[in-house]
Amino acid sequence: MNGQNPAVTIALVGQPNVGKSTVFNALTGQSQYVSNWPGKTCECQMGYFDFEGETICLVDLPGTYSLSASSVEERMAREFIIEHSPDVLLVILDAACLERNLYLVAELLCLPVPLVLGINRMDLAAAQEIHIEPQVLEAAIRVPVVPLIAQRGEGIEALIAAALQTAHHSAAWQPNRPIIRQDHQEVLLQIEGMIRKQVRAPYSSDWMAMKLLEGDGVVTETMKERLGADWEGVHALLIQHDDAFLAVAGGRYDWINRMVRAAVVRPRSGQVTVTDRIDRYATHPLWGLLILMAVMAGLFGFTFSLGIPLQGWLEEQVIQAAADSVPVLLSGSPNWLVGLSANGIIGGVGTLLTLLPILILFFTGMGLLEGVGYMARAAFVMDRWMHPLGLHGKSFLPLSFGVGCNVPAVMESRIIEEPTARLITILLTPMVPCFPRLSVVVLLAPIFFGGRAFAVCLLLFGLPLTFLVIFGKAFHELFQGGKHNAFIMELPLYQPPDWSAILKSVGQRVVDFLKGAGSVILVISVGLWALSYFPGGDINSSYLALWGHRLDPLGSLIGLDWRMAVALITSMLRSENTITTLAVLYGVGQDHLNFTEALTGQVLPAAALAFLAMQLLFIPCIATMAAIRNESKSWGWSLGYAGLRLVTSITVGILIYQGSRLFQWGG
Amino acid sequence: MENQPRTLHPSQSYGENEIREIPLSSLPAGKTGVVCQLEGGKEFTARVACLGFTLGAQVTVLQNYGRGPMIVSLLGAHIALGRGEARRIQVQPL
Repeated sequence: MNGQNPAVTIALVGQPNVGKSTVFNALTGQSQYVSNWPGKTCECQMGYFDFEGETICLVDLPGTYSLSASSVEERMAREFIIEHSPDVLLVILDAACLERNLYLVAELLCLPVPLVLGINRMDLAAAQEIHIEPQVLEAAIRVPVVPLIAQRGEGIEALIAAALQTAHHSAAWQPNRPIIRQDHQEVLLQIEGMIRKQVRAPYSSDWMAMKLLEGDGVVTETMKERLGADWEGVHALLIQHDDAFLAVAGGRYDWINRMVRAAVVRPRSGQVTVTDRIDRYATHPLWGLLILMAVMAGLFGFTFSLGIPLQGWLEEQVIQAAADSVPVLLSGSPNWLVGLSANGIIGGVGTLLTLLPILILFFTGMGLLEGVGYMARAAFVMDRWMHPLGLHGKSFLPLSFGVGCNVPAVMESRIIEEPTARLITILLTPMVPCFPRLSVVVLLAPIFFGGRAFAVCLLLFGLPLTFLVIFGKAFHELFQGGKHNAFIMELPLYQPPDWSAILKSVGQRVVDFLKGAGSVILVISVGLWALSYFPGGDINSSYLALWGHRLDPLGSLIGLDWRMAVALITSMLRSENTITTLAVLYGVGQDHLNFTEALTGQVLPAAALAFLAMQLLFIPCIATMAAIRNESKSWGWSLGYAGLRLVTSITVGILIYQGSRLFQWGG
Repeated sequence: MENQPRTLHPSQSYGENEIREIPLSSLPAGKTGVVCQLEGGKEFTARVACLGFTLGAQVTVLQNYGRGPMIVSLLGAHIALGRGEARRIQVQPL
């Protein structure tokens, strides 16, 4: 732990969107050291701070609704709490939905770690006329309860003081714990008796028994293994009581109702709140859709009206300047070293650098939408339209933003919690052609097709979208067996954005991308450069050209020569490269040929159509591939996906070329 | 076993006469119902129970246009759920 020796370790827990990260930032804001907790699946942050002379280590556990084993985050949180046994838990609750948030507390109270409750957003709850009396709740649960307005820093000190107090007097900790509903109390005791001898510390037998009744996958597997032949008896009981989860969850909510009875006063139902008033339009089937379109247009406008000029500036002033200075700095060095530095390395770094403005702006916009609570509404409105692809509304945002740039769009798929749906979204998003890819088609179509260019473009743009639907249906059948995941989602109250939390998360995501994708982009960039340079020193005699020639038999099926194949491959570096590669290979600039003149008459219309279709369906650019790899955490899926795109692209190319010739068009 | 409906315990049933049960998806906006049965497998049941759809819980429908997903209020929180999911939650209208 970096050599620091904290006196107290505190873990921060809470359901998603309760303002946990705001509390974490408020406490560790001045901290010199924030890092990820070392662990295989753990991505939780930790930081150090001093309070009243004590060094405290604060671990920010992922937001979880409960402690079941149904998601990686939930397993991680509970394993951390039980196995690393922090001195005290800080549980952050949202005042406006205290009852729901207390469900997690009901679970945490069954673990052997004392806890302190911080009720956040007291101001927002008061605005909703929800009145909470922390002292009454404290007396009921018999754990310290501290009211918070974390965004303004109110209550944070009292929270830490209460946590330290609890940590130092943990022996006296006797909370009021929830119990299972009466009709299942006996079977719980029975199971506990049967498994007691096989439960190992720090896990307790009553907790394990309860998790067995809940049908917890991980605990069931563990006990099955340890009990061996004795498992049969337990298993028979569990089957007999396979509805026990309702008794466990019901018991927890009974407990919650008892705890809040005197402590929380809600307004009479029928009271119309600000959230209700906004949602009358924002979640309406028609108005909601129009509002969503306007919001998306705003996000696009914001990202690209600022992002594209910034990209251009970086391109000219930084990357081009750096590339230009290389021959001067390295004068006297071999040509390949100059080429490697100027094109391979600076090219790769440049790809990363020019992505930054778009990433930062996009994530800020998305963070804002999430932070004010709109994102859940967007998902709600789009839900019915995404069902045919086996996806829920949440996948709409990554997919639609793919038009702008696939890289942040793929990264945005992490808003989808369910792993299979997330993977499908990661793989479908790059089917949406991004602006640069579309612009290549728009630029080339008039050269090949003259007056018919517009119709050709429309036809071509429909192609990747058709494949999006085909792949969506196929993935849905293959990965999910055609079944839909349950669509249940909380719609949070609208609230003012917490800029410090938004900007911090933007920073984290950008760093995460650079770390995860940076090296991949650099390596492929240098590799592609080397292939286009060696052995001859120029692209016409390079390995890439050599392989291009080898592909001639395949190319002849599509009516393309090696130059087109090479252009497709270099488009992986950046989509716009198709144009520059074609320009070099077709000798633009020699004999005063301009781009249009150089290409006119070189390619048959049927072949040109096949080429443009292939360009849209070809393997995504390396930055997107790196993002796919980073988000799916799997080389298998990433490379398999690249293969799928390659095969699709070639097949479609052949079909278009041969089909056109068959019908005597453009042959 | 998996798909057996999970019904309210007899000792907890509401009223003397059997009140009609309808799927939550048929409850119009503005009406409140009491959850009395969850159908559709252990995984689904566990997920909704966790959110507060336990037997005896009161659910108020906030939005229900007859098709597409709907919004309900439960324990003070607004929850969006698909029509398919709402069909598997049986309620007794209050």
